[in-house]
Amino acid sequence: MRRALAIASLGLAVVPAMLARSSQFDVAPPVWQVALAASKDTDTGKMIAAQGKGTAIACAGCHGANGTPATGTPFPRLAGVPVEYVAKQLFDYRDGSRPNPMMAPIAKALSDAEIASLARYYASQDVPAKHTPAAAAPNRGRELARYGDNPLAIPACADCHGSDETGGGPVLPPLAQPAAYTTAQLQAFRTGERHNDADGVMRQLARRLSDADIQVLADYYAGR
Amino acid sequence: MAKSLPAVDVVLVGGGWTGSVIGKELAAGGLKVVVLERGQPRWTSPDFQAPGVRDELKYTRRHELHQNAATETYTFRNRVDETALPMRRWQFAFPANHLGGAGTHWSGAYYRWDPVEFKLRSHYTQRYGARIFEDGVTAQDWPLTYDELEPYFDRFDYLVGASGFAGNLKGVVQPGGNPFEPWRSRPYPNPPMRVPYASALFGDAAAKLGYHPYVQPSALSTRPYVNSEGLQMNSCVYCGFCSNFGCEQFAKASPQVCVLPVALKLPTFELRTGAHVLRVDLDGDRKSARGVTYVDGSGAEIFQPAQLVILCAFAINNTRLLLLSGIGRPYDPATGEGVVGRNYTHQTSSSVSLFFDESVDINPFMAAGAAAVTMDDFCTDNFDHGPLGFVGGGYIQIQVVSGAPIGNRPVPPGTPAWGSAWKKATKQYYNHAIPITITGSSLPVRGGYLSLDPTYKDAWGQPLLRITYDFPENDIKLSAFLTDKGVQIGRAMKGVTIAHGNPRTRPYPATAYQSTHINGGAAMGADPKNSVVNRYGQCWDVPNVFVTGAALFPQNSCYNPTGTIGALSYWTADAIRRDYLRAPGRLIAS
Repeated sequence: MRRALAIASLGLAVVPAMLARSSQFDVAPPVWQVALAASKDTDTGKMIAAQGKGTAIACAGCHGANGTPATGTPFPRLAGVPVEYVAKQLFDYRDGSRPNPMMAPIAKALSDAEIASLARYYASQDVPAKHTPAAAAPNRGRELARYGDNPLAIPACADCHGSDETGGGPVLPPLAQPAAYTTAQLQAFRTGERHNDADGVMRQLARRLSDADIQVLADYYAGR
Repeated sequence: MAKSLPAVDVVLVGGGWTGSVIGKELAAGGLKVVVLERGQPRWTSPDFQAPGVRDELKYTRRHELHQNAATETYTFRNRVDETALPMRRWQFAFPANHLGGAGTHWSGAYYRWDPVEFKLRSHYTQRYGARIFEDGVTAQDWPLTYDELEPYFDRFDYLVGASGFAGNLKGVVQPGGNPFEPWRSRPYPNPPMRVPYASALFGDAAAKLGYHPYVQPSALSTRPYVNSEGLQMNSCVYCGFCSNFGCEQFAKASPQVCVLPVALKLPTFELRTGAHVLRVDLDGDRKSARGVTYVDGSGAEIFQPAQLVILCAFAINNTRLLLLSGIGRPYDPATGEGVVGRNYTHQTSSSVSLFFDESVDINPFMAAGAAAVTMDDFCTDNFDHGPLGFVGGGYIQIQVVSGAPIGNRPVPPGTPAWGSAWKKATKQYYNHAIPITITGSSLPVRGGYLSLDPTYKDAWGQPLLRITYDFPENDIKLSAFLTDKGVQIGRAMKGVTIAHGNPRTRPYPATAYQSTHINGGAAMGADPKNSVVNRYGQCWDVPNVFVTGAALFPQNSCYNPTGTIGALSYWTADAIRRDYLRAPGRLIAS
């Protein structure tokens, strides 16, 4: 049940699950949304981020103090990432729809309330001061990110994730992340190993990107 | 003097659904095909990408993808004793002017017509007696049946990646689907769309009242899908920019996404954009077409000779081309004789404005053109018309299409149209209002028709198409009945504080949007006395000219037209390949 809901929850906050038939309209909200609605606590999250909890090691070890990882590491920034996105990802690590050997045991050690609190904590942290990106020279990565590719039926990344690299909404994350992280995610979507995207939106696109396309996209966003 | 080009086998006028589908089919069969599209070529990438495409002012208010009313429009009057005036901007419907046509800026609501629609006159006469039809109503049976068309509906379903849950597979009613659905040979290729909150509230209330609500079928792909042409469609992301926009996601079916990339790879298929066709040129005996004359992007007049001419322009623009070319006898409402321009219909649409208390957030921007819960309990002849005294029906639904901020300004009836009271109401209700929409059938009447305007001309000096139309009494009764049902459902919905019905009244307004489903003028029939084309869309008077699309509808059903238009396109393409080409220039025997 939880798995079905997690797969179904998608890029928009309260759109319900995909229907198996066409005469049923009431669908329960996804688990992460229920957890977020239950509490406003950030203190628990702040503590777990710094110290860990039981078998869950401290988030700060990889994701940096306040959710900003050290330059040159492959770990994604969490500071200022939307609360809904972080909460949903932790639920997805926990239920396996986003398999990850490092994150799965951590997520499994966390309760619903702890996940919600961590998500609130990271969302409340300041986004690190952005270096103004140099205007990217026209290249394939920029083209894909901003315009897509017509013969491949790939829309622009910016359509959903925003054209200013701050993300596209509650569960549409900002893409300005280390290149190694972006590459790993697109590869995982491509193989279907990561399958927590709504209606297969990301898997379908990743399958049509070549290795070279994935690399230039990752480089483009790493430089933003 | 027009420049003449080398002859081709087939010229198709218009690069929308019908031109793209038929053009591709005939080119794949080896014929040398040219599609003449008057608009500009626009493709999903880069033309429909965000943020540029999400511009309500440009696309909806300023009609970026619609016919340019400054160069070509329609004139309108309600009655023959009035003088028609030109529409200076689009309000009643949105004809297209770009590659893909209305098949690019549509919403994607996707239906098959009910079997009753194809035998409307005989079915109602048999069940209720001939007097159920009001005097002057010229509704007539189609020359083909639903069963004949079913394989072609099926084919189009798998081209557009239709989403839905089958209600009737080969005659067996399927639990969980629409119990009124006509039989289908295969399930929908994709599952139903997600349900917006307001639509869910509607479905709950309708079910409680004993109706049969279901999720509207759509041509918006709900999962990654490779269509029948091997082309990729992506999952809809419910961005809410469908109607009047090109889809940024390759999710909404359009000729650009579903057919043209394959057609353009065929060596026998050529697409020419910026080609505005003026007329079909006939031989001296006026029984055969020689080709078409068009104006190209540079303003030069070009003659394109062809063995076969297929009119694939926007619905009633096909009727205009017939009139401009002198094909078929123009209809005369005074005598009831003649056929071209006869049987004009629109869609008898109405609404119920719903306003909710502040506990109910509608979030109208979480939308898709065809994301709806709908019900067919009052469609076609699914209910007893005997005591009601009218013909036809309509579907009732809540479809959450768009929360775009210029157009979406719901305020309760009685609110001033400007000033501080309006501002207060628009703030209060933006997220707490949605209409129930009602889409009703439309019957043709003797005084409703299309003709060439005697006064007004387009930018190329040709007479505009003149629409003469008012609602028959039948459709006014229908609208009152359906709107009242909608009000009752609205009142049963959670959180509703106001449910205000807006049924259609006379006179028919040319200044209110009533869907882009404008039809007729080249009715398909079994008898040349009351139809322009035979059951394959072939002109009775000029057999090497075919007509496609909604111009063929003898009357309009309550269902959106595109599914039926698509099925008819495959039907016509098959008839040409199978029968017409064996004896070109002759009428296909029925």
